Amino acid sequence: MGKRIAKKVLLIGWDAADWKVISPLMDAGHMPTLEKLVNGGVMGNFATLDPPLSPTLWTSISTGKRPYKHGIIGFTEPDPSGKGIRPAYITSRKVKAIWNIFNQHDMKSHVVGWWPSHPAEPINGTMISNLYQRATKPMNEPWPMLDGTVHPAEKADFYKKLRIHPGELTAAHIMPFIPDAAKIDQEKDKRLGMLTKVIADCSTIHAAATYILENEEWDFVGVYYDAIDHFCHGFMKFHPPQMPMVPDDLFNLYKDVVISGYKYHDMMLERLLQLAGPDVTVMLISDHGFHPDHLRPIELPKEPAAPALEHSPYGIFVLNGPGIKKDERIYGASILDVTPTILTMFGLPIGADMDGNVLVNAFEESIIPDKIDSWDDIPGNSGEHPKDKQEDPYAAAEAMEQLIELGYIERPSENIEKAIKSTVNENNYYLARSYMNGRKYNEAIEILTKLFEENPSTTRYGMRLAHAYQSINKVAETRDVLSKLKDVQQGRESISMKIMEGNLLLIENRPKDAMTLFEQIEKDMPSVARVNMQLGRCYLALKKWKKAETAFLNELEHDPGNSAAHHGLGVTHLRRKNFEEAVDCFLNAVGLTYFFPFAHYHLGEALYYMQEYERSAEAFEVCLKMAPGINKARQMLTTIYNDHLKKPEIAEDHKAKIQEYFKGDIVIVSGLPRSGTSMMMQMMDKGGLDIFTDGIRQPDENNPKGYYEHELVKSLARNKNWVKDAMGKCVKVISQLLFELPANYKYKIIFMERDLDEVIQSQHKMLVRDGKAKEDALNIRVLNVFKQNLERIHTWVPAQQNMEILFVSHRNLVNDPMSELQKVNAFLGNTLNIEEMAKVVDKSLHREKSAK
Amino acid sequence: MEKKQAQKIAITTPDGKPFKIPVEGSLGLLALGYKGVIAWRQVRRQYQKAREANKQQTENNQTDN
Repeated sequence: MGKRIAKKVLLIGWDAADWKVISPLMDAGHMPTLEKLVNGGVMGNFATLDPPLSPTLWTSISTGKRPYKHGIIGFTEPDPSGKGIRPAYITSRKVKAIWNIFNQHDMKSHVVGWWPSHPAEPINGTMISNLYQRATKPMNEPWPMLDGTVHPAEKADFYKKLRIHPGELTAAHIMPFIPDAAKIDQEKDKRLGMLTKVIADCSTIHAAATYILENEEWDFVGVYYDAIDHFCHGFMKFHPPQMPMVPDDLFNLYKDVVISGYKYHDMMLERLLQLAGPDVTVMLISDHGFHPDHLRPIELPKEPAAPALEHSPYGIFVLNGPGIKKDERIYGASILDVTPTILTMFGLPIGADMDGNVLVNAFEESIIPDKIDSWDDIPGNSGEHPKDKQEDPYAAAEAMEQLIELGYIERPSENIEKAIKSTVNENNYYLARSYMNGRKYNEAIEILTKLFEENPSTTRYGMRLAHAYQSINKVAETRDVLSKLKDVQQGRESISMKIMEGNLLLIENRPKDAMTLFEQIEKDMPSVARVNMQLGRCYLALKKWKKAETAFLNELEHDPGNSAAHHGLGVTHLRRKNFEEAVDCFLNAVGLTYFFPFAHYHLGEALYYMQEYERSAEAFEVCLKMAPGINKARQMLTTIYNDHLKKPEIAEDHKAKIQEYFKGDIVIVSGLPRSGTSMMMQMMDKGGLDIFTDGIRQPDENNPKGYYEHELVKSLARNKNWVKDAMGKCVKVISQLLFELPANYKYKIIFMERDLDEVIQSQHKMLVRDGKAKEDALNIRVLNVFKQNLERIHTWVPAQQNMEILFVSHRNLVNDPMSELQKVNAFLGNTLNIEEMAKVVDKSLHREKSAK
Repeated sequence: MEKKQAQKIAITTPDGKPFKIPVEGSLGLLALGYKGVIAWRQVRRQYQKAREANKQQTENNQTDN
């Protein structure tokens, strides 16, 4: 075991709590307990996951794993008995939660209301499930409690009596939320009843938690309050400022509910901290935020889980206790980090299969977390349900279907069957989104393809599939899905579909076409479509810096919290050499989203040009911590430490690491256009190399044997995502684009050299043949540009640690192919069939010869 | 645990003075947690008992008259 810096940990969950509501309340002194907790510890934004569904998120919080690993993927799931659907059960969780790990170390944990936690697990402590608090019947009727709600069962009766029924509440409880509650006609307006239920539910959870804290021994207590989420879903639309569609009377009636809900939570927090006592480590978190401002949606689509669209992507995070820094802000925290961080504070190793990180920046001391492969492989009493009680409800639903098909079981009624099918579909949709959120696009595509095939009229399945394809630059596949969607919608194209088409044009390196489309969308639907970010990206690609600046500023006017817009704006300044403005923008971007490697990279670049080498190095170092594969940052650091900070030993470290992060070898055939690159590509093909080409550019009179090109290569300056697909292959890249090759691959470059006069002549003839130039108008101005380009290649390439280059004379290759190809073969490791390669030479095609 | 439900719970203010629990309850009592809930229920029960006793007394008085 490592060093234990926490004696006890109290983990408090406030579903949907958001700094945008809390900060002004703290400033006004309305949340004094939270303010004290924040000032005495660290705080920050807490990035959520997609889809932002609470049962999946709280399970990610308690396991450190993404939903596709932990198995809780929706609000409901098929009942394994086949009788219908049920709320998500803890028995569907496939991995250990943090309290199961503590159980294996004889630590005492208590868990109250965690979502999902029914049936309560047999842990060494008390577990009160999430089906504990809700009253479903009027107060004068019996209020039974489900079996399995409380562990140990002998305490069930006590906790049952502790529950607060909404009918018990009086005006004294309601008035702080709705001072004019008496004016409400409850026959017509059911909101008051809903509010009463929420207050009763969270007070019930709080009563149980306070009992545990005061009367039980404990190492870990986890308590989950869902009330802020409910207050917000019910009443955020009435929160000031008044939204246009909200009438005055309702606004005046309900405008205080959300704020009062937060104040009540501060009161409950005060009591929890009082009972927990000193020297306790307290972590207060929310799983996502909730838009309280102009980002509140005006209308929600009619689809399952639509209310999740009201959630904002950042929740809250506060950590306070012994060994924790004071009054500091932590950047880049995610809900996945809770379990690894708490394990580390208890001196326990984290699982390498966990998706989160330890928030080491929160600790006063430098701590290197211990790791094991997986806690799920460690045997021992984990306090989980016995294996025979653990279920896979989806496998159970499939097995049930098979038994029905075989005639062993009667088919359930049509309604139940429909409900099960729709739940399975919806959860598969969430599962696919979870894969996409974890950048596992192929897994997502497999699920979404099936869903879309089976449910072609459910357009969100198709749109998500198109997004998945777009994310991995599969342009043709994306277009195919969009076309099917158009068919389903009788030829209509939604705004989202048009925007996606624009994104595809950007991927294809057609920023002009994309720009035209986005400008049209903006013109046609100014109030509906917001395409500032897309337009900004087009303008950046087209180097229209001023227009890009305007687009990003427009976006920021709408959403000042958009870190990508701050970054985009920064790039417009950086490219115009407005370095100070650029630095401000990048600092804004990383202040909002700390985990933003490219914002740190560009910050480093701007500071470098300002000759602020220390700060520049710091920014590049942060970038590399987040994305160690960005070798361009290492190259910058090598230069800074060598030439400016005079720390050659650190420069050497980075130089050595550049080698470590090379992902693989790619053979590049390069040269000026018309210098024989297509011929060399053809030779490589015949010689046995795998060629990276899409075959789109067909052979023509200029190149009768083909171009061997790939459209994506043209977009190299802006889009490097495709390079991974070229690994182990041979790809044609013109000399001007060599500088854009990403620094995290190794390249063997065959560079074709041809007499520049011949190149110019050949290019001219090609333009004439294509009708793009006149026979007698040879453009010799390009000669100097080409010369400069070649000079730069000769000096720049050999200085790159990830590039080797062989210059091949076009003339020699045509006149004596075998001798030139032997050099090529040796350069590439003697694996080529050079006899076949030599057959490619067709002297009749060597049409432009200089007199030299 | 059952004793906790039955035990008479007294609530004090932060400066140690006894707090008179209002029969209609309050958010502050709920925020105190289980002790606040139990104490409020006890007061409510006493109030209801007293009210019933008063009602009974009134009824008895009316019958006597």
